Amino acid sequence: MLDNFNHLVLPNINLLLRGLSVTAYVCFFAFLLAIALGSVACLVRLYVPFIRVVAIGYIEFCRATPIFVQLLWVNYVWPELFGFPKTVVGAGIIALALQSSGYLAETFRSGIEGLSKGQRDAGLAVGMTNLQIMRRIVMPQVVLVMAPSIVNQMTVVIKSSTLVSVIAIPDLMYEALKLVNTWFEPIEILTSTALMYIVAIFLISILAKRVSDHFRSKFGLAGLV
Amino acid sequence: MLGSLRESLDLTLFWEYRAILLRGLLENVYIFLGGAMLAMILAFAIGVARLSRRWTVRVLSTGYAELFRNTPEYVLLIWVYYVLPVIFSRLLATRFNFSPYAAAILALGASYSGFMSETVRAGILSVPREHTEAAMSLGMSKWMIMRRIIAPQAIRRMLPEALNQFVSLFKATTFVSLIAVEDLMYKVSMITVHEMRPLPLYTGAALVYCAIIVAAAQLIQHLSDRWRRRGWA
Amino acid sequence: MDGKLHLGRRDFLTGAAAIGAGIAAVGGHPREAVAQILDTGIDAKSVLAKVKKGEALQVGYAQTPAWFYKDPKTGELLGIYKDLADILAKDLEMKVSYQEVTFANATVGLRKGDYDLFGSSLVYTVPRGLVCNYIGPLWSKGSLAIVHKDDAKKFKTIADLNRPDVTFSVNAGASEEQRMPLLFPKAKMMAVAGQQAMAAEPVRTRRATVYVTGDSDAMAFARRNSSWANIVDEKHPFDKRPNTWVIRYGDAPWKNFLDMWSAYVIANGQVQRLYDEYIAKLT
Repeated sequence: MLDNFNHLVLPNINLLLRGLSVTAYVCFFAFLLAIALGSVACLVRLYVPFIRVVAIGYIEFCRATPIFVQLLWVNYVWPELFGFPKTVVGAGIIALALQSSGYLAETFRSGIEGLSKGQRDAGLAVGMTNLQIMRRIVMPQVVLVMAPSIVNQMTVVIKSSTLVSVIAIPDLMYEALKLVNTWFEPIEILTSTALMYIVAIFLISILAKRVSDHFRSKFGLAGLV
Repeated sequence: MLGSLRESLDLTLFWEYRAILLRGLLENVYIFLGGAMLAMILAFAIGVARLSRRWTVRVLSTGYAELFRNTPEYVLLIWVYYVLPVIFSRLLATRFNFSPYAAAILALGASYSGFMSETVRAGILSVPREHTEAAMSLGMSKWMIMRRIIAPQAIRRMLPEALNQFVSLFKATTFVSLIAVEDLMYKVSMITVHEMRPLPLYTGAALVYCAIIVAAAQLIQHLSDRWRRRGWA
Repeated sequence: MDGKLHLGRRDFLTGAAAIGAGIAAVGGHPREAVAQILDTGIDAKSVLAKVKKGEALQVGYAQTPAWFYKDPKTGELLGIYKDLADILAKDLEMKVSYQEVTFANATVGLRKGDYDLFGSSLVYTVPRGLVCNYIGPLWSKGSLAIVHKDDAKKFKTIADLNRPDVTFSVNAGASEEQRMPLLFPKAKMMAVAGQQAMAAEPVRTRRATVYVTGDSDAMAFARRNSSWANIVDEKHPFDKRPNTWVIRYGDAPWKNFLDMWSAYVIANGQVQRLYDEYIAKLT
């Protein structure tokens, strides 16, 4: 077993690491896009009366459709329907972002609804505009209060990203399965790959938790869960 | 674009293959039921073990939960399907074969037992200490306290969260098609290969899953509201 | 049904066992080899021993058009090699059970011993040859490249495809995944998981330039997708290789038997007849 590890995994470690960097790239942009889409959907749902239903429909659809189905749907149907995404990487990023944006929108909403109405009134009383209130009072609190959920969603994105190998995005899983298909030795390659994912997800969730705890204690929110 | 929009919403093709697609969906349900059952059994065992007085049991069970919570489901599925039988065959020195179904149930069950053991642990911790102490002062045995005092309260409290986990588990059953389990997505890709019209097929699949899960979520919301009103949860 | 002579199981087995025993004897440990051989002269570990005991023959397959596929409406298994596997089971007077796997898992499953025979069309490649035994071969086929109609003028011959702005789409785990990068070193590659023909989707949606598959598969595919699919230089399939069944490495009696059996079905025209029948139906 160690023998196989030495001649299968070690010589190809660069390939696997390159796959891991593609995973990181896809996850990073998917998460950014998810935050953007999620904020918009949340704000529309809360503050824009006429198209609120559209936002609710969007959020429900994103949350209720399995990621694998969304991935294939975006990859195979969207190019004909909307003319984009042009690349498989684009399709992977959009599908992952769609899924997470639904969850993030709901997270943001419960964060905003959890704030007392008095804070908003106080902001208005000192002459702040709605935008200012949102930016300087609401946003910082929501982000801090909701940090654990947001971190959790980030690990969900990484875990879901393993599926993008199916549409030929050369991520870690893709490179690993390619090696298995070349040498027909699954044990060492797949076990190493699984460990790489576990370690990566574990490290990122610990790091993100540290950062969010730091800011939460700095702004006196450490007691909140 | 309007033409393709009409095509993707024209679900006659989906209707034409309804018998086959429905059979595929049933496979999703079977895998879901098997996976949910396994996840529950494992989650209870691990959840209780995480509260054990012995630190070795605590460390091992917490390690188990963390391991499966941090492993992507798809990676675990592939690993269980490709690697686990080989390891078993070597250990037992016989031929050992998992059907794709068994691999799917095992992988999804193990994966979700990690999440659910956390729910079980929280449920047990939510039972006030005084209840246990009161039961002990009445001379109830440890097993009896678990069965009659802790479990009924804990299970009620963990139900809403556990049901959410089950919804996630059902969503995860969609990618078992990748190890050739003939579920709905497998049938969809088979028909796509034959008809080469992915638009209505994938759109239809997305809508079917969406409808099922929205309905399930509504039901869960309704039930947990009712439980809450009755003071259960 | 076809009026052909079907030899009984016994005749085959005696012949195969004789060869198997011969090989075992040459192997260098005569006493050990003899100890492993049953009364009938067959190695107990061989699939042939199982055949003798009357257990079911387990055939693994991955779907590939024309050779081994399911009718999407009825779910019925069809194909040239499926029919051939049925004939084999009939000759052996055995029941047969089919187990579907993906191409990616074909060889791994065989090594694990999940099935006695991988019945889909597997093309000769050196890495596969090192871990499995090909039998026969039952057939040989070349590859054909399918491009989008809009690109038809750009690619007149196969050589035109070896360019850095060309992306090949192949099925993950299929032999093309290993063969194409060597034949077209300048081009880019992508491997799509799942069923084989799904690799054609990126070409249809213009994410990839070309989809490569076996000649007969490509012709059947292009016929069904005439709205966009165009075969490059249809008259000249390239990289011709045997495509046949595969068994676990080192089961000499079983391989000897299947080699003999495939020589028999090739000689009496059975394979050709099934091939013509399916190609006429699909193209």
